[in-house]
Amino acid sequence: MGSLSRSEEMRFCQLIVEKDAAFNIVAEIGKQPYVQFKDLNPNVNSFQRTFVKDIRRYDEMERKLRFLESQIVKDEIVIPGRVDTGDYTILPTSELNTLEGTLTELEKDVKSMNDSDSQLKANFMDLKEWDAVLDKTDEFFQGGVDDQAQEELENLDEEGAVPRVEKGPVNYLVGIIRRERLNGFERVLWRACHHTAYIRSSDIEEELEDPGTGEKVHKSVFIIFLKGDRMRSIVEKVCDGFKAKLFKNCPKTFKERQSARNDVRARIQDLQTVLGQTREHRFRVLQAAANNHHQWLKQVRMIKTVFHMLNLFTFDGIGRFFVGECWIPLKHVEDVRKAIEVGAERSGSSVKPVLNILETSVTPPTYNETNKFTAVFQGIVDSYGIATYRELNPAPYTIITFPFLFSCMFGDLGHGCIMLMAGLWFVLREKNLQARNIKDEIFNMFFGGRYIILLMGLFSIHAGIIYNDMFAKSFNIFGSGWKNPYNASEIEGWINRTEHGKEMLVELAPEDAYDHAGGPYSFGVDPIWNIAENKLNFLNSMKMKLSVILGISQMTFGVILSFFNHTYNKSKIDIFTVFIPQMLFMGCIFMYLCLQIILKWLFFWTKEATVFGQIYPGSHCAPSLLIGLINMFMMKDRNAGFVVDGGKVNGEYREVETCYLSQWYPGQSVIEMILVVIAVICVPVMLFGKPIHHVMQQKKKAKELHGNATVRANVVSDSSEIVLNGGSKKEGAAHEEHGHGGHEDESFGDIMVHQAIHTIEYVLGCVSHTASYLRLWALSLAHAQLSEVLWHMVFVTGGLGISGTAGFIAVYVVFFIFFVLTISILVLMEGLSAFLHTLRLHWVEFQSKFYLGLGYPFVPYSFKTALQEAEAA
Amino acid sequence: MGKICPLMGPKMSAFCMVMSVWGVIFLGLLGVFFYIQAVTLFPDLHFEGHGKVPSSVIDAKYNEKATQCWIAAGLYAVTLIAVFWQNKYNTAQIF
Repeated sequence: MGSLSRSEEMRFCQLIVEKDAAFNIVAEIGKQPYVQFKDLNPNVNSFQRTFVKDIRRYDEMERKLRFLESQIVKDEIVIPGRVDTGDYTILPTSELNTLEGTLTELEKDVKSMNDSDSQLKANFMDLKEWDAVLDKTDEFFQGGVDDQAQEELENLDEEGAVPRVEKGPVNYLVGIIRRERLNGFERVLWRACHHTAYIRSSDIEEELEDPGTGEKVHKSVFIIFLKGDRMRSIVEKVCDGFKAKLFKNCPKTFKERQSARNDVRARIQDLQTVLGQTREHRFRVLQAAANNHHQWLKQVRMIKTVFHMLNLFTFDGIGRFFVGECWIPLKHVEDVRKAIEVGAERSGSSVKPVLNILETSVTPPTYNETNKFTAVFQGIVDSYGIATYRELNPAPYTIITFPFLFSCMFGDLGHGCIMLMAGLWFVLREKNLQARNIKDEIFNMFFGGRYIILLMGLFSIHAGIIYNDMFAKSFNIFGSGWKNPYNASEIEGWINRTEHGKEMLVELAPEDAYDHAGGPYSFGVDPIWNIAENKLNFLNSMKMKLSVILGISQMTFGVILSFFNHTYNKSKIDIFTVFIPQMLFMGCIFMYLCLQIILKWLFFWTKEATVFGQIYPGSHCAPSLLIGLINMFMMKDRNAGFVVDGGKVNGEYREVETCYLSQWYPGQSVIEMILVVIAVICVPVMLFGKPIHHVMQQKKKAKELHGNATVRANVVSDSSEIVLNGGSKKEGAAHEEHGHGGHEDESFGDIMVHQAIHTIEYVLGCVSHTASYLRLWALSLAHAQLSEVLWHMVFVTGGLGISGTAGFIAVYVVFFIFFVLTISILVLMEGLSAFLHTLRLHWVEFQSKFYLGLGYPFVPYSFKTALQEAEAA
Repeated sequence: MGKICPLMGPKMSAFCMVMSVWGVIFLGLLGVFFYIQAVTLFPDLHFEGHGKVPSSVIDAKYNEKATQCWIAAGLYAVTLIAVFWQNKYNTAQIF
């Protein structure tokens, strides 16, 4: 079989390398994903391992790279290229040391640039505020605010509101406060100064940036006129409380303020120049760093990976060599040997490294080699359970059965086309989409499943043609097998006799309307059913029977696959006591049911005919398969034939009262009894076969041991040494003959319980799983009905149903709504639903027949994996 | 033109472009099927009044629906041109 039918053969290997060459050798091994190292130091914690110091060193380098990356992203610089370019060469040690120095200096540079940038910004904002203060103060005094304040304060004195003890000159303070705090500030100040402070404010039009947070804030300039030093101290305290900034050295005269403003503006200009140059320099430094960032990150990640792998190694007795143990796929052992030799050459080591294949009883990890097409199907299987080592892998069969079962539930030609086009877009634009490195989780899920989406689209188109369903409408390609049996005058008569407003249903009797000689519609369902009143009756019956046939086919295929597992394990007892009874059980009951379904489809129709040598009066006597199956198990007595013997009476047969329950082929009663007996016998065979075989094996073994004792007794008469040697040799031989490793320790009770569970699971599972496959019909019905609702309730009622000029606009608008709903509900939601049900049918109904899934995955050490993780971060 | 172009972002214009293409195809084909008087589309013709409907009325109804679909398809073609023009002004390309 192909490489995907079973997991790859694995070998447990021991790698012995010189200490100096170990790094290069492990680096060479990491270029390909063929080696899974075993941890030989499980009891040593992470901080006590051999290469902790080196890992910390490169961790520090990676931290610096992450810091640089955050700065680069903050400046909106694009980091070109990708971390994983396919080149996995590690730079020489000298270049790595240079890289470390470069990163250290870069980090220092960027941090100092950040600090100076913050400082410059703070200075810039201070100067801006100072400029605003000077400007607004001039505005205040030009408006005559000081005279008003003087007059106001003197009036307060005259009215006696304040004692005449303090009578000094009127002074003022200027400051800046955030605009949202201004109202509270004024109110508190007014009360704190006992209504003796005179305050005015003016908004600064330009938004100023807060150096701490970087956000823009609105600020206002205020001026406070006051008398006396005590007032001044009060005002200063209030300003502190409101985080208002006082400018105490504001010049007193207009000329001085003008001079100060000119000076400030010159300094602002200078600072802007310096800020611009600083930013430009920072941009250039970060741009240069961005150009190399991915390559640097790649080196650091690869080297860390190598050191982590080296930490799994241990020392030999001398202390000069490293010893590693690993799993390697058999077909890649030579590749690994070559990689080791290349690594040794690069080290210039004189001692040749050794790769030994060891024997071990440990079960190897499971490795299924996949490509981009098969990986998604293997992922579906592995989600259920990793295959036991060398167990038959369901993934190759899933490639076809999964999309096929999906399409049985999703079958619609139009929706299949949509899904196919989506899949094609993903597949054809594969490289472009990969190059863009999109990090959206939902998109990556769809992109990862692009091949399965493509196949599901294709199979849905096929199912849509079979179901003859396209957006809830049928299409007539090959010519319907049904025709109008009535002539024009009859139809005219009906129309005339019909009451007004009443719709008349016309029956198309199959005997007259169906072209039996011409045969059915060539491929798929006849389009006549789309406009038939009993459409659901027909489709439900057909789809249920199809579901049963498909389900039993897949389950039988699963049981057949278990035969190959038994053959591979050379377990004859499993073939005779598990596989054959399972097949007989399935065949006597469920395959027989499928056969009945097909025969009923082929031979029973509406016309009177002789079927299997018996007279069949019409469709009301068509055998009921479900009740027949129940009667089969209940061993009920049933009439033979549909009519009473004696021929026709008055031109008609005398029918048996419940003719649909009669035996419909000769000897049916005997045949069915035999089938039931066989099926019933299979159950104890499955139940007791293996335990009995185990008991017989045990007895056989005990007998041989008894013989061994006899031989020992005979040898005793000769000499003691001969007795010892002879005994051990015999025992060894006996042990080899019964080489069943697992079964030696298993007791009868364990095997009995194990087999009981498996037998019950299989027998009951056959019944319930057959019923479970009916979901193929159920979801198909739901999908078709939803599609019909969308067509009739949305598109026709809202769009096509409107006539005239409004109809054009209505169709234009409603089509958009119809199609958005089609994609979001019928394709996406219904598609997801069908996907999940298909998943369950594969995991439970199919794989439970043959699949153990008790393995653990082969996780190879690979640079590609490490770099992909770095890329995703 | 600074405010007019682009009215739509890259994703919106790409989505509308796809919908317009599909609208032209779908409604165009649907018009063809109405024109050839597909039986399966008969329930979608709505007849006013009751009683006997002569075949000439049925023919006229089929033609009316066909025309309706084709005009809507034409409107989608116009929309496609407009949306394509919008898409050209977006620097980020979805496809």
